[in-house]
Amino acid sequence: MKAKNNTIKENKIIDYMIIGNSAAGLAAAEGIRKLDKDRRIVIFTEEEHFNYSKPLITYYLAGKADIDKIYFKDEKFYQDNDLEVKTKTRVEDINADNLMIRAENGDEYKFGKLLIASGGKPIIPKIKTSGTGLNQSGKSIGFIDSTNYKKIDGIFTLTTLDDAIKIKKYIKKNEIENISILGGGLIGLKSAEAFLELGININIIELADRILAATFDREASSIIENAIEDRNSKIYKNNTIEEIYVKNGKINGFRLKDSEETSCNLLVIAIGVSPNIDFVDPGKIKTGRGIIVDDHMQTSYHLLKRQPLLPVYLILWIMTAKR
Amino acid sequence: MKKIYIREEYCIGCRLCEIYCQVKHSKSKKIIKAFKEELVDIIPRVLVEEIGYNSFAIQCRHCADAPCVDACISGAMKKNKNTGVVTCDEDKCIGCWSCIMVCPYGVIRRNVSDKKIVSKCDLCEDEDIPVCVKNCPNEALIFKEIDEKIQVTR
Amino acid sequence: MALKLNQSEFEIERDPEKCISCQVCVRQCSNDVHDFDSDNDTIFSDDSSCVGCHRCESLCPTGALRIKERETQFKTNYNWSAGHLQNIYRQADAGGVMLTAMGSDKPYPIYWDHILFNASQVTNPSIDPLREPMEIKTFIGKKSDRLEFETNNASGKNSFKLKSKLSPQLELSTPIIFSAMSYGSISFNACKSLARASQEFGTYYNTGEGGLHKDLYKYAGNTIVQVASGRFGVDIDYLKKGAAIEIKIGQGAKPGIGGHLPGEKVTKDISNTRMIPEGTDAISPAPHHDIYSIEDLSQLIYALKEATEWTKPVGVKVSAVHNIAPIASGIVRAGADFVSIDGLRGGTGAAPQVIRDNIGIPIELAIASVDERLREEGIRHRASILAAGSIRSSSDIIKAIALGADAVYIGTAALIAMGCHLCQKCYTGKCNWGIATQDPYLTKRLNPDIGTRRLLNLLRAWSLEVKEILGGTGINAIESLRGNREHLRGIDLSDRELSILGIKHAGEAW
Repeated sequence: MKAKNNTIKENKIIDYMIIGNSAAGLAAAEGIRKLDKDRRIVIFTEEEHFNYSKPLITYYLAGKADIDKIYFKDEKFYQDNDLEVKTKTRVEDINADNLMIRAENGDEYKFGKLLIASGGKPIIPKIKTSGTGLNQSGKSIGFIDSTNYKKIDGIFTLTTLDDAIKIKKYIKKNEIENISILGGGLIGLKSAEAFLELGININIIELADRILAATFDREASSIIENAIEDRNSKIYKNNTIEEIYVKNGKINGFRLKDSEETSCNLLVIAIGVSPNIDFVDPGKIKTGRGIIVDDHMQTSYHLLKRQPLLPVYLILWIMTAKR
Repeated sequence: MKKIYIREEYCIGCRLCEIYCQVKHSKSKKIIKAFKEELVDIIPRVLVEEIGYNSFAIQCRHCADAPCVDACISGAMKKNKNTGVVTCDEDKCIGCWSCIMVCPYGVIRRNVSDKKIVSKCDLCEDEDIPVCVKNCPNEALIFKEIDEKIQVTR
Repeated sequence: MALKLNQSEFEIERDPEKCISCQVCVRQCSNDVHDFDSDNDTIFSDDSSCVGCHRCESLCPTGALRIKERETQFKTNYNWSAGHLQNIYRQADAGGVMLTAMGSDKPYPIYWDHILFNASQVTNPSIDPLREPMEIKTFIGKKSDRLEFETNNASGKNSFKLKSKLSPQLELSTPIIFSAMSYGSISFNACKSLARASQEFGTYYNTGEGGLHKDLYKYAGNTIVQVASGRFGVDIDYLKKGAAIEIKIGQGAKPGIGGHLPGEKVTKDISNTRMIPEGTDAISPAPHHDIYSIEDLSQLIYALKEATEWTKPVGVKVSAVHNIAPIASGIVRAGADFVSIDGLRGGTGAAPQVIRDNIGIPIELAIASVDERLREEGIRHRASILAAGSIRSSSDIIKAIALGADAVYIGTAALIAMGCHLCQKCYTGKCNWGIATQDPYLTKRLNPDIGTRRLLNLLRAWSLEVKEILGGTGINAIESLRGNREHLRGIDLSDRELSILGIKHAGEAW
């Protein structure tokens, strides 16, 4: 769905400000509206898309869903609940003492109550690289990490619709025939499902001794492993990528821990997510592995924060929260 | 909001409600053609449960606070604010079956006959009364507005 | 057994083009005739168990089934018909009494179909029942010998007040009453439908030998309670609750013998209602063991009147037998307020076939001779006559009243309205329509809401037709038709039959 009216009317205090326009943020907005019909609710999102159902991005990637059909809530929802949305507005800083946030473009907004529902961002491990064309001078940087992985063509993460759109374009343009996925967890496997649907062979590289180690027991994991291996794909277990080979700024291949080398034109990194809270100053608002909250989900500075969690838990959480 | 209720003391377990539901959701809408010629299995949205000589037909209750709508990860399951009917948009449904897991009545069915989605009662919105009610031979199914806060005793 | 001398009576025709194997027939047949073969997704029907109740045909959503009578092809023999052969085969197999149910199906002459009714033409113009009042209200009970009035001229105006005390009467909004069908022979839902319909329409139903179930107490004002030879369910409350009491001496389907409800059908509910131990056979003896003469009957009639403080009509039900005329006379003189006469073709839940088909006389002849005899003796007004035994339509009602009845009882017709298809297997307790059964799986099939509605529709339809026929002959009150033989003509009847019926032949005028 295309982004519409960024309807911040004037810079008055926003009674309820929500950072994050996905399941948690929208559920909260709907819940707030049930109790408070009058005050302003404004949702900030760094994405340019209106809203979409995260689980559906792999269906979009696989060609099973149209981009018009993957919205989670339609426009009527926003109108009926009288919600305002500010897209392409990344929050850069929270000024807790003054109850204000600052966006990336410098704009500042005052709030009455703030809900941080910014979700998670993918974890990028530090991996050694070698090869050509990584920076302007043509010399190798030596490694990739979360700050620079985007500089190499062909290395992707898959947590947003934009990621899916980019991957789809890249596959088309470069006639990709096989894809490697670093990480055999839920996101990695969902992307594997999409690629197999497109007829592309996949390699999955998993650190543990089985895929979906955090979700299933041994027997369940092996059922899925067999199903994947039946379809011309390979799963590397107890393994990880030690070095990435780059050629002319594009990924060319990689070397595994056990020294096996493989060629590769497209790598998806899906080893997990961590809370998307770069904009939270730990001095004012206590953080640990996420934002530390009390029984009422209030932060140390009495702002409202939701922990970024995997989709399954999110559904259950929404149900209990709305009651 | 008018809903379908069952009077189980009159349900004879014939399952004609299931058959007419299947016809209504078939392509041809004609009973003989639907069963003999349509290749795709049609899922009935109403289910008759039986123990001994007791039986009753049950379908989606179109709950005021529907758990399936909350559980839907793709936004396919929606409750219409005006009519109150809970419907599943089959184009958006991705067949994750979360709704089936949360439904307290167990009235959402898995549908793998064509795409992998779910099927459930839609109150036959384009009919004046739902076809299961109309075709129940013993008038066990009724279509009525009942104040559910008051327990109806017979 | 391997040697099947018994051929099945019916065959089931299933149109393979229409059958969608929905299995509704499989589920609904209590005789397990239909079976689903999951290997080739078809339904196989075993004709030998089919009783011809049409349940499957009625429910089949595509109309794929047709039940046909299957002619057993013996060498043509007018004397030894297939029916006789079948009966002997069965009795040679089992050595028992052949049971059957409902009314006699033998081809005895049906006098209703040989009687024609009159209409007005030039004089005594027709009345349109939709435009003018048409009275079909009927009172059942003893009518006074004479009426005395008090005149009062004191205030200068003539005013009259009735001085004589009237006997208790039943007021019917239409001359149709539901016949005696016991709870036990039919299901509770069927009884409830009859009770509700009588209350809503303003007529009565009869408990039969089954006693009065406590859930039907609210309809007690429209209930005729029966005191039969087994005295099931009879206690002082039962007598006081009913609107009238009927002493049952006999019934048309099985004159001379009593009733029998097998122990398997005596459930807890029936045990409570009939006041007998659960699981015991409910046997009604042939005679009342305290009635061996007409004087004993008179004693019982007056005992019941005393017990109910003379507030209710007390009548007697008898089968129509050869000497019905003097018998009815005796009953009237014994003090009965009404006499119910049940003819040869009366129905039953279970009776020996030989008795049902060979004993008794047709109701048409019975009413005519009873009415004639009572009028001759000058006692016709002392009791109402209720005619029973296969009243099939509103024309039968009209003819019965013209022959002399005050009102008619309908039994079989009421059950047919509720769904009965006359398969004559009531005694098996497997009635697929939920009527003549106590099996909880089957009794659900008769929804009392639907049953009541259909009975009301039947009463309404017949009442309207009665009014139409009356109007057509220029009569505006059913009173004027009662015993008015002049409105009837016989057709294709012998002189003797015409004389017994007391009617002229068609073509004869006054």
